[in-house]
Amino acid sequence: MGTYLRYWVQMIRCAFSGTGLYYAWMAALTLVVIAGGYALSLQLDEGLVVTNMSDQVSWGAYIANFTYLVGIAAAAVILVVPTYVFHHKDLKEVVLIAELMAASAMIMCLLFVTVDLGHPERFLHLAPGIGRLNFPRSILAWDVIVLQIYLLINLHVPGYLLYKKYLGSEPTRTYYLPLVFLSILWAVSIHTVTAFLYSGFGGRPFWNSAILAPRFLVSAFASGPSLLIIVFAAVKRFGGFPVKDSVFEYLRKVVMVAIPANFFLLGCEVFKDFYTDSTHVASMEYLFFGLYGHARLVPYIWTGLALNLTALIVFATPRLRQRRLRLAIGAFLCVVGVWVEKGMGLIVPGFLPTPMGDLVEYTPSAIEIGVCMGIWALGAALFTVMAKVAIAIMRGDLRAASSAAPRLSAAEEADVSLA
Amino acid sequence: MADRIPHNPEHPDGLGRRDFLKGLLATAATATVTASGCSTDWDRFFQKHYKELTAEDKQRVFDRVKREARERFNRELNLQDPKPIPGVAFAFAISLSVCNGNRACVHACVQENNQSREPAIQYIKVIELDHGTLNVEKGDMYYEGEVPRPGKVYLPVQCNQCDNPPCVKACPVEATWKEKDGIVVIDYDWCIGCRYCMAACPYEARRFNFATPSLQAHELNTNVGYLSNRPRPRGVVEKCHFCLHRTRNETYPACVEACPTGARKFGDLNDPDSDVSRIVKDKRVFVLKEELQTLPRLFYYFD
Amino acid sequence: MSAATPTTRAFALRAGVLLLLATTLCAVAASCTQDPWKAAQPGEHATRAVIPSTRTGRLKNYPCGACHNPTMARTGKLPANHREIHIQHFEGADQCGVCHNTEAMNTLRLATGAAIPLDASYQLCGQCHAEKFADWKIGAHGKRVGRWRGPTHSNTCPDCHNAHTPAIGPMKASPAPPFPKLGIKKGEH
Repeated sequence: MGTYLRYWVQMIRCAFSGTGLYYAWMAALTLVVIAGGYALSLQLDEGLVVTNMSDQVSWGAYIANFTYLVGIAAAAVILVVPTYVFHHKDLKEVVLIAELMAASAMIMCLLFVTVDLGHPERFLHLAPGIGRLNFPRSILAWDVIVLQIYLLINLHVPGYLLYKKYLGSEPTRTYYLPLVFLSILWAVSIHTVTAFLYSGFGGRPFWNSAILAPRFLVSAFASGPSLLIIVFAAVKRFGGFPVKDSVFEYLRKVVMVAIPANFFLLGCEVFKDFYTDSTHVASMEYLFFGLYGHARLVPYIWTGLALNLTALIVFATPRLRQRRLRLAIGAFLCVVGVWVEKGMGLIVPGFLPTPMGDLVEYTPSAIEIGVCMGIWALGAALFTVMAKVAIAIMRGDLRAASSAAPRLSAAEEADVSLA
Repeated sequence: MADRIPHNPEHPDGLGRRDFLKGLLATAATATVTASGCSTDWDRFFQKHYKELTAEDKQRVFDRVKREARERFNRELNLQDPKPIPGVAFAFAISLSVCNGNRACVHACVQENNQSREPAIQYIKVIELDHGTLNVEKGDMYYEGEVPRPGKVYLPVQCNQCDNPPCVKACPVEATWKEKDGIVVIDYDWCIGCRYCMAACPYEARRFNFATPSLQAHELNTNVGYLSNRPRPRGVVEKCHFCLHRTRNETYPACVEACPTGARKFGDLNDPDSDVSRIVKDKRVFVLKEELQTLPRLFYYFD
Repeated sequence: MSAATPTTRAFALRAGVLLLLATTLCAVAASCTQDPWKAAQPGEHATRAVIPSTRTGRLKNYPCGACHNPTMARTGKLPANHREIHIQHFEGADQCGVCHNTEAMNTLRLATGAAIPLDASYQLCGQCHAEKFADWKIGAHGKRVGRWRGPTHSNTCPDCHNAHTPAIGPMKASPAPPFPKLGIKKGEH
């Protein structure tokens, strides 16, 4: 017990010490979190009326971010599969960072859903036993369950492995390996269930599509690995963590397949709506061209698609993709592009026109933007801290005092895998 | 919550200094607690789902609702909790030949059901359509002036109390459910405000209290039902409930009584003699979005 | 070939005609005493018991016999008291006697010539507007108030339709819902 407490103390000390850049980064994030907290306090005081959501567009930026982040979390599976199924040695080194990113994304998802609720203090009504969880009929009930379990898996597996490394002892396979394999299935299922949240409604024809779940997964496999490219580039440059080039190459290849696949699936939807030309084309028309002269989302979606295309070009062109900074920029373009297409470009047109033909636009209000940025900053801060501590443990900088394991040699230091 | 000033035996006829101070402290504490609504909020935090409330729980809950109305409006609520009448299946019928879009129903409903005036919540929407189409996407809800306007027909829409309701399926906490007489109700003290039901509804029937509903004391209708028109809190969903505080007492809903052209019909589908049964049997009726298999209880017809 | 005598034949003919007449008279008598607007036995043609609203208690100039005692002089011109009435109903309705019983002014006149009380005006309207009458009886047309089961209080035709100019004119719509902050206008209002 004492060791475990000392472990936490050492982790906290590690979290609060670092380079000047680290302090600057964390300070900036803290400021944004505080600003977001203030915005949230205004929202809790006056109610959701401070957002631009309405009866007609009843979900907005919060749920858009939630949907996007579930995809990011699911994308950890891209690294888990080659590591644990195919025993890809180079990827073993970085898989824990990916799992910690999935955990951070999950926490952000839960925060986004909580701030979107009219009565967040009634969250216990969702707990089976204490509340009344409408399982299995409500897909939202399914989502609550699968997301919590995924969060727990992605906290337990890295947590356990890192603690074992800290102690210098060999991890017991049965305590983590079954969960790892479970997380492979689970990652796909969290994003499928989230897609089913939308695709099961006959009254929302824009979402009522069989390929919505595949679209979600494919776009997650474009944006998640892109975000991982940025993260790994950062930890390599600033965190002193040796990430092999093969990792970047692998992630790049995944994204290079995912972006065209995403375009293809989007194209399928576009064809179906425009060629059929039924009344249901109105949502797609609003998104791409505007309706009755109102075209608030048109610049968003075309920019999003342009960003994705540019990212694809960056990822495909040797001159661009072989330089890590340019690759990271391309990855950033993909992250933003998918966010636009999946976040605003998916949630808002589903409400426009409404089932009774009403047309009300949506754009996030200042308070919504504040709260969103606060949650993103909080997630980034949490992830930075978790990654910093994890890297310290993996490099051998953080060790239990009573551990018999010696400091790593240079060769051993180069191999920072845990399993 | 009454606070009692403790009686001190040393001063049988009155209060001693200690009692006075104790009393002052007690009053201050109670005032702070009540003013911040903490005691009420704790009650509500631990309140069980409507279907799990015992008779005792219900009495406490109803007393709290009445007390809150007294504090807010300085008026006494006649709060009921009428049960479904056994063997009854409510349904609505609307004659589209006769509806001329005058919206008397919309405003009668607002008055009867204590809906927020600002932001305005209205359970009924009347959609103006061109002759020759029932495509609501081309419709307009915001027409004004003299009705019927030339070349237009009018389609009032509201909650259909579907027999296969997507909203009931969607709600993650079972805050909304279908009662035995067909009405889909909402437990306002259980709803978490996730608005998933609003995304699910194909008829855009549900409304959300983004702000605290604004209602003046003189606008309050004091004949309320717990599951229907009692003053609702912020952050919960609400919708048409067929005026169950009226209909479960055998009276017509407010919109039926208000309609000046007699376009609205209401009754019991299980009674072959009722208005709606005869209409469904003898007139050509249709429902909106039938292909979604929601099995609505609101039938439209032309006469 | 009949072997009957001319007397027998004549008798049979008379008996037959009398029988036919009697049957017809019975049938007519039966239909006259039937109350089509009250609740029948539960079954195919059952409806709720309808309590039609009474008109006579709300008329300014009732009983008509107070001025018209009891007949109306056939001047063809409207007297000073009913000058506001102009008839825009159907082509044949060019004078009061088409619907009002000029022999007994407190009653209305069916197309058959029979007199009905003013409160039973739906019988008169129902003669031409048979479909609407059938709809009214089952509750598909017209307005009912009060309770949704048991006997129902129903408006009668003149409660909404002025029998002289029955077309229901336009009315002013109650205010539209507030236009949403970020709403899109589809066309001119």
